Amino acid sequence: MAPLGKVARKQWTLNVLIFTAAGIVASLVVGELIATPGAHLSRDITASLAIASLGVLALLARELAWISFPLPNLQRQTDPRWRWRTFPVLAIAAWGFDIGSSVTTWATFSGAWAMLIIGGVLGEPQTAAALLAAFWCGRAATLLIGPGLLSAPTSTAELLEDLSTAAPVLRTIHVATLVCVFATLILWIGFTSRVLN
Amino acid sequence: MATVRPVDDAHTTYAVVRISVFVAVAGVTFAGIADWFGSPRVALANLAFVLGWTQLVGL
Repeated sequence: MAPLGKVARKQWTLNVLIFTAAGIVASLVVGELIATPGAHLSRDITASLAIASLGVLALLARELAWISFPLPNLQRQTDPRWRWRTFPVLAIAAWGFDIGSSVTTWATFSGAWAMLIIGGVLGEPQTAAALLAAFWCGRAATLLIGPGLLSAPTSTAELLEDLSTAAPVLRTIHVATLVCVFATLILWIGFTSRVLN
Repeated sequence: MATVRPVDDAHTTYAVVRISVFVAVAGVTFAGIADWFGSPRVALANLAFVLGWTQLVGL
């Protein structure tokens, strides 16, 4: 969508909104689905947080290449041919819904699974939905800088090539953020333990 | 026909890195503030935003 931002700002803005909204809907649906089973189990929030911490720790170790295991995402990308098979608006909404679900497309980093694990283990549908929606909003927000980075609507391929050089920095930020997620969970455990005692 | 390239490759990378670091610092700061006020769910939502940003879906 970034090239459109160079030539048709109004249409691009509408497309970004549709794309983002569809992804938010998908995030909310997935969040509700993963947390609902846990919501019916007995609730020991300290144990839930401890399990979530271990999950995040495993993902952190994976990002640091200390251990290796495949993420359970489907190994596919969203289909660009939808653009020619249906109305453009529907295709954009479908792309947003597909990527926004976080599980139906290939993932570069493990972060989405940190949110899925926390949401699922806590068994709080609203929290899970909010975490996945926040994750999706972060992904979709990168659309906003796309047109600014392109010198022309035809330079997308070159831009993507250039961005690969930024990948190590993005991975470092991702790992540092996962450390913060882990720290937040540990602080939360400490807080709940104090309240319960 | 020659392909039009971004203004400057290094500039593009630098811009992405600079914006991403800004987003990360802002997200972690807000998360820290939320933690300080005893709102771990809000803190996690802020961190989720940063994690999502690093995936660069829009590009």
